[in-house]
Amino acid sequence: MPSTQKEPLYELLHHPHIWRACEQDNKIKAIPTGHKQLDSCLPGGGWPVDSLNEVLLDRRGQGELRLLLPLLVKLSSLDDDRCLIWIAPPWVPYAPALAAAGIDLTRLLIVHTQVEEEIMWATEQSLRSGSCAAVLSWSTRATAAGLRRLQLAAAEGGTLGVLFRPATTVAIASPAALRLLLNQTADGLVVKVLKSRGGKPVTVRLPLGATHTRDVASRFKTDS
Amino acid sequence: MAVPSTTPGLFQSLPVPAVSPASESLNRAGDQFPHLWLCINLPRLALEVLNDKAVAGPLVVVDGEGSHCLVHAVNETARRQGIHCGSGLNAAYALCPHLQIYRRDLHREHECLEKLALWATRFTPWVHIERPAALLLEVRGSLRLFNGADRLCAQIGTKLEAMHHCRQLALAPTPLAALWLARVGRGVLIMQPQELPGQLGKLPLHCLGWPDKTIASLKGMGIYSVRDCLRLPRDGFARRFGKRYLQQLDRALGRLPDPRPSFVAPDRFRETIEMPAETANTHQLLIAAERLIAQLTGYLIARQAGVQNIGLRLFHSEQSPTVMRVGLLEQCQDSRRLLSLARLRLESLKLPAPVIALQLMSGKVTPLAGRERQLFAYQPGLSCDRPALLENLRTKLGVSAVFSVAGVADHRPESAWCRVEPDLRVSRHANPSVAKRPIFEAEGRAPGWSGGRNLRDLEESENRNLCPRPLWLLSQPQRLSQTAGRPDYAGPLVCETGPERIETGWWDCGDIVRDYYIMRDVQGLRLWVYRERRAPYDWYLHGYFG
Repeated sequence: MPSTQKEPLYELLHHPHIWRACEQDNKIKAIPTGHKQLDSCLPGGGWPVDSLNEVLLDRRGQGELRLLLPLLVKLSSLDDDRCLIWIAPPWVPYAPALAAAGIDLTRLLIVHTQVEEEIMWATEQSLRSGSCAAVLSWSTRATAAGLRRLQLAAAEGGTLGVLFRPATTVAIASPAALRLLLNQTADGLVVKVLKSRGGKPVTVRLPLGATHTRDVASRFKTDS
Repeated sequence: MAVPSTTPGLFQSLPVPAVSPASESLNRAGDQFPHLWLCINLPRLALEVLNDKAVAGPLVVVDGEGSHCLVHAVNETARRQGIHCGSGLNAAYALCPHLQIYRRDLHREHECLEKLALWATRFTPWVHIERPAALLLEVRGSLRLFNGADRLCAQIGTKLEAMHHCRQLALAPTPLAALWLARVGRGVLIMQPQELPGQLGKLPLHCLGWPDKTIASLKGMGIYSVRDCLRLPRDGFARRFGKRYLQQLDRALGRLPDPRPSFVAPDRFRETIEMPAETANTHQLLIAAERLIAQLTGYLIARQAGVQNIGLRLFHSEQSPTVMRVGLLEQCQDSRRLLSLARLRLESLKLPAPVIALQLMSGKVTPLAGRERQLFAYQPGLSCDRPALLENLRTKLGVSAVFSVAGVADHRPESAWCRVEPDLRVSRHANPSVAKRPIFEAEGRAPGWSGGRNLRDLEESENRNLCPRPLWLLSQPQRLSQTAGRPDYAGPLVCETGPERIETGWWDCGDIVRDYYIMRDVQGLRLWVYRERRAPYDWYLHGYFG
């Protein structure tokens, strides 16, 4: 009886709790990070859009913005009028430096709040609304359920979300599509890809030099 | 024929039916009468406007003062006890000692009528409030849209039923005829003016709303119906009872014109709901707010208008009311959007006391501007509803919590940026980096200075000089400890570039005299550090290159 032999395997393969990597949609929509070494390691060749991404760092200000800057420049030059929203940034995003890097400041929205619940709420709203190209959020105590909500909101709104979290949360599982752990060393930024949907964990060293900011801006200006 | 000289115009017209455009068209067979009036009579309005109309016991509404205090309306239980409208209060008490008495609230009745008139503007633009308890709708032009008079009446009846109003409807070519026919309550529909005399003739006198004294003397003469009235000699009738009653009969029959002014909706919307019991429960308040907002959107749709702000006033029993304002960035007619904003605000509101009533006030009501829509496929995922997102965020977090930044042409790092109002509509050709309208002026900066130089110039000079600026700026520079004259930040700092001297701002008492350096700490974090060039020559951290 072929059907009875097949049954256990069939049941197993179609169990809703089992996710198989080969069923993944091969065409992952992504935006290049602007860093060639990193792009080559990521499954879609960049930041996956329509999903939540996590950047883990032990100290704020250690290169996370420089990592994201090419993405922000690229998104703010798109012709779709969507804004970049920063929720609860730790310090003042310095307008002259951002403008010099090539970010369109009229697209930049900053939400200032200290309360964790409000940060999560604002992030979810922004991700879901579909009027943001990217949502950058600095959270300290995001819960697993909260992250799940953010991931769903990002998928629903078609928005790229980047959540900055402390490096202490490395061991905790997360529904984010991409998780990066940043580590600043004397000779560059070490980016450890902890999780990437459809990819493998790797470690990349990015030489982010003193004049890097300006290089990025000029590169994208000549592209467009 | 005796014609008194006092009012020649009127009495000349007494012997023959008055000549008016209406009556001319009446005489021409087959011609359409210009108007058709639908009357909505609300016989139990005085009871319906009461708060606790669900009272099971006998209940009456009284009108008048002292010994003239008469029963105006009775509920079903009281009617079964034998109490009738028009009887004295003492008589009513004699029949039923446990009677609940309410004084008639004319103001509230009128408010209710206005609300219904506003609602009725969805059927016709010409609505007239006929005091004390009726609405007249001119529906000749609406019949086609609503598929005929029967369907229209059925639709109005169903909706009034849903609003818990007891109603009597009638349709006639003249407003008075419609009103009188409605008061009988048989639901008569008269389309042709030729039917008027026959139908009106059957009406008993109490439908006409004439004073009791007049009706009593008419009855004393053996006159019991309108037909009997019409048989009387016109001049004699006018002399005995007053010419206005004769005029009324003529108007009802279409012999005299009967112009009715149209109801004009108030400029702003204001509506109150009393809570059934004192409550501090947000959920109950939201239900009340939802009802109010539904009424507001009905009002806005009728006027093809939108609002930019609404206010909710929460009344407490012993404290001044709590006022809650909800502002929108653009005019809006959408009840869901208003409700979601109201919900956000209500949920975060700290109530000082339980709420007894809720009032909704609209801000200025402006006509809705036309909007471009796509004819074909609409892609919901790509909608760019930035104003809605901004409103949501601002309603919950406060207006000042959401902002945008812009550069300002100033060499002082802390003055080289400012908060600006977020841009709602981004045009690709706008100069992105120049501050347009700072909303929070940095303190101590000379007004007008920011407009002096374009930031582009500053940027270019910066590019030439290659003085990079950090992506993060500390709003308050952080003082660094020193070892042997060198700054410390979790270990000794290594200088990368510098110094860049900034010495400016003497004109507005915000002068700075600093040397800026880019330094690295032991972990490789790049910092923007400066040293004061005056005593005590301290080191400060001012930014991170991130």
